[in-house]
Amino acid sequence: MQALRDVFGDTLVQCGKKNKKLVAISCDLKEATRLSKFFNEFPERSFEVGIAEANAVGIASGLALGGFRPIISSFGAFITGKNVEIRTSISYNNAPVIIIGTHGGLIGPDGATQSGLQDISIMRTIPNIQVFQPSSPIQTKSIIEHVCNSNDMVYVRIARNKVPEIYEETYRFKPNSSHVVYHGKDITVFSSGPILHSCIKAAKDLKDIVSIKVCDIPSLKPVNEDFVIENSINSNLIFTFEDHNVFGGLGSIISEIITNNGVKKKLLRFGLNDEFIVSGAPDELENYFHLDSEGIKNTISKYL
Amino acid sequence: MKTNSELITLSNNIRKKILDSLYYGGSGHAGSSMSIVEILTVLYFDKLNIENPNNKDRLILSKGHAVPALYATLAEYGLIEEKELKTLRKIGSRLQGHPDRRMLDCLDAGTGALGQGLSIAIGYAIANKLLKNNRDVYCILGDGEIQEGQIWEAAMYASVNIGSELTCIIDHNKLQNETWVSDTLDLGDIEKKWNSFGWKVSVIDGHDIEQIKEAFSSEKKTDKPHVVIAKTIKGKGISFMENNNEWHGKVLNLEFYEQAKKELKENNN
Repeated sequence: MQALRDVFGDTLVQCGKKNKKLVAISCDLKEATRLSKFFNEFPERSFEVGIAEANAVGIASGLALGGFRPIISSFGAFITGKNVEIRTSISYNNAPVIIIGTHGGLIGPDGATQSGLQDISIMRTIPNIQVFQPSSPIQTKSIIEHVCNSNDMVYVRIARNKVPEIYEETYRFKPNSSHVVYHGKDITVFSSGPILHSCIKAAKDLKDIVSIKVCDIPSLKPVNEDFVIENSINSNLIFTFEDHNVFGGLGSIISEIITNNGVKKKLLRFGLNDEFIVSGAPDELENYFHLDSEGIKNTISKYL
Repeated sequence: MKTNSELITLSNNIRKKILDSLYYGGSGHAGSSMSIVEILTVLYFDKLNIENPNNKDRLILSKGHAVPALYATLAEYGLIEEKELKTLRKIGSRLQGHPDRRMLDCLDAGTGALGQGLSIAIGYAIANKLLKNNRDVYCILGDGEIQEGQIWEAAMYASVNIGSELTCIIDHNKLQNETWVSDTLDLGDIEKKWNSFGWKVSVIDGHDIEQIKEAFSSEKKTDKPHVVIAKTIKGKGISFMENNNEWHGKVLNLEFYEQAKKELKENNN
């Protein structure tokens, strides 16, 4: 089990050694987001702007237009709250900035105001910004390596939760990546980020009752439509589970693909049902919002 | 080096070009464009070093709605063709209603949602520092624009981290979208405010070529970023537009266009 933000911090330092254009911007959250590792290693390429996310977005844009590859790291709730600044200063300028939003979803005792609940939804509606979300340590490493080597505008949502590994060391992420992580044939479950692990466990627990396929969607935009269609078309039912508002997140993405392509299957979307999270330990929150393996098992069972 | 009288002639030419683009384009912000003409003239014809596109001074027009003035200046300078001005705001034109560098790559930033340009300018200044290229960055703000909170985030950051390579010009024409700035949200003593935020402050007549040149003079540079509060007149140069906020965004019809052109011609003689 490993916290993905630790993997992010370590990987970024490695990328910073190779890519001298990589510069980091913090909004007084470098420790919590693990950007501090880059700050310690490359102080001359690290900029603390204080509790001023809008200014951070603009500075990142100017640095990008001036030839650098800036990375801003903050809580997803706070940085994507500056969506007009991201839209105008970054997207409208085609300024190649990487935005990392940590603390998405069921974050723990800090509660609702600190938790990214609509960050995916916001970021995927801003033109030409890619949206990625890792579910495992190796996938996190690969996503960070990819974005540091690319010149795209990217939002990466990194969960606070500790998660197990499900990928091999040889795993390589690229935009459009999507994977079947547990094989089955009757039902398809799509997920992304830490909730994926609850889905896998639920599928294993139900294997004697129903055969469930679990798919990981780390690339939310662009999303691999063919993969979604292929893995939906022969299923009896499709589910999505996410630690994000059901409006605009993974469930909406899958729904758009299914309706656009005439996949005539029932899709059931579960996550945060247009509500805030509450304070509590992450595992208690998963239970409270029925996004732990028990909750997911119960939800799926209701439809069998 | 241009003489002051040559720069005044260039300003007049730019005003004519603004009128052409607004008239043929059929919309655009006249008053806000007219108030920054002398500032842009001095920047482009006396100050900015922009010959090498890979190593140049930068200008961010944060009050993006005044972009007809910038397009007209670029046409006068020769970076775009004069005939292109007539395509302003039309489908397929590079001359968007607010600056878009994806279409017109001689622009240093796309702007339009107010309050964001100074932060972009700071980003450029940091990039220049890392590249050790000794280039300057200029940013033009509207006075109404400094009601935006992000301006003060940026002002605070710049005073601690950026030196005199950053110059911010406030187009202090005292009017904003709907009415007088003082009747909307009074700015108070803006000189004192910027001073207390750690900036070097100059207050000038924003239509006086000599005062603008003096304010941008590199001999007077300090280790602080510099804000030039340019007292200007919205709609400057066209009698019926001056200090008349109807002309913030009013369409220039044929009658007004001809009258305005006539006034500029008389001024030039």
